[in-house]
Amino acid sequence: MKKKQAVTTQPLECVDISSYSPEFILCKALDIGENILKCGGEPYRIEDTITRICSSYGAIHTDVFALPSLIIAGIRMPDGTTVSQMRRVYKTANNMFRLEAMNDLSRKICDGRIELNGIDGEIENAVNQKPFNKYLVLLGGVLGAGGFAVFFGGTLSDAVAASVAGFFVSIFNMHKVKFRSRMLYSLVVSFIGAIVGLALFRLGVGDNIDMIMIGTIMLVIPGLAFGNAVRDLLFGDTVSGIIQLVQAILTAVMVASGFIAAIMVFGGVFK
Amino acid sequence: MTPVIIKIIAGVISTVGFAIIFRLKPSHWVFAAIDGLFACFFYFLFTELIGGNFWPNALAALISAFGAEMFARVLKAPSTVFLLPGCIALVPGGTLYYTMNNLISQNYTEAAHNLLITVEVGIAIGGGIIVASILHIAIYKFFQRFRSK
Repeated sequence: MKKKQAVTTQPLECVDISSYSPEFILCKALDIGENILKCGGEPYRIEDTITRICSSYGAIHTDVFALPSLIIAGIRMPDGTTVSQMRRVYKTANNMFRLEAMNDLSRKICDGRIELNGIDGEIENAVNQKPFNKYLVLLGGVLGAGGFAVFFGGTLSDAVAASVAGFFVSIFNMHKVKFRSRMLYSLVVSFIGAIVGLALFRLGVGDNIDMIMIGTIMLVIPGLAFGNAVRDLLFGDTVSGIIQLVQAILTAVMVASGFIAAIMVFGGVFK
Repeated sequence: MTPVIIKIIAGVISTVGFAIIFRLKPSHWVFAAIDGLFACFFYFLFTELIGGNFWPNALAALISAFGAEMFARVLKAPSTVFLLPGCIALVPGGTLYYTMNNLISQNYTEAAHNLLITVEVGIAIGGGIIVASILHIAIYKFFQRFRSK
C-alpha cells in the first residue's frame, strides 16, 4: 500500500521555497486534501498527498491525520517553527473526475510545475470543470438499475421497471448535496425508488418485484462503503474504518426503512 | 433462468452506469467496464468452480482490484477511480433486500441467514481488495529490483 512506503520527496530546487510562510504552505496543502476528501478519496491518500506537498516545500516533519470528516495536520520547518491547522469537511460525494484532477495537481506541485502561489485558481478550475453534461448522470442511474435487475436474474421488463425507478433515484442523486443529513437523504431516496418500482409493478411492468427492487437498491445502498471500511480496518486505519463502518450500517438501515415504508404504503404487494 | 452470458453483459452495462454516477472521465469508462467484466466473469466462474459466497466474491474482488491497480498505474490515475465501479457488481444488494423483505414478513431465520451472507460478502470484498493492493505493491517492487540489477 502507498501508505507503507516512506515519503521520499525532497525539497524542491526549482522553486524559491524560502519565500513561502509555513502557514501558507500548510493551508494550501490542506485545501488540496480537503478537496480530495470531498470527492471520495481515502484517508491514506490524503495523508500521503499532504505529506508530499509539505515536504516538497521544505517541511522536515509532517504529521497528518485524516478522518472521513476531518483533517488535522502539523508541520515543522527547518528553522524550528511549527504550524498546525485542521479542516472540517461536511459533505462528501464520489466524484472521480475531481479526484483525478486533484491528484494531478498535487503531482504537479511536488514536481515544481505549479507554484503554490497560483494554486487557488487551479483548484477553482478543477472544481468548476465537469467531465460531461450533468444530466448524463440520469443515464447512469438508468443503466445501473436496469443492468443490475438483469444481473440478479430478472427479465427485460424487470430491467425497464428498475430503470424508471433508477431514473427517479438519480434525479435525487443530482441534488444529494442539498440534503442536510445523509441519513435522511438515504431514507427519502430509497422510499421514492421503492414507491416508483412498486407502482410500476402494480401497473403490470415487470415480472419479479424482487429483481426490480434489487436493481433500484443497488443505487442507494452505500456501494462499496462496507468493503472500504473493512479494508481500512484491516490496514490499520482503525478510526476511519469504524466511522465508515457505522456510516455504512446506518445507511443500510435507512435504506431498508425507506423500502419497508414504501412496501407498507402499498399494503404488502411484495409477494 | 437468465443465461450467465446475459448476466455478465448486464453486469458490465451497470458498471458503466456506475462509472457515470461516480463521474469518471468518459475516456476511462471503457477501462472501468473491462474491470467490471473481470469482476462479473470471475464471480460466475468461481461460483461454478468453488461455490459458496465467500471465495467467489473474494477472488473476483481480488482480480478486479488488481486490474484496477494496473489500469491506475498505466493511466496515471488514482486506483479508486477504477476500483469503485469495477467492484460494484459484487456488492451484496440482493441479499440485503431479502434480509429486509424477510424481516417485514417476520421470517426471522431467513432474515438472519441473508444478513450474515451480506456481512460475509462485504468482508470478502474488503479482504480481496486488500490482498490485491498488497500483491500489486509486492510485484511492483520485485520488478523494480529486477530492472535495477
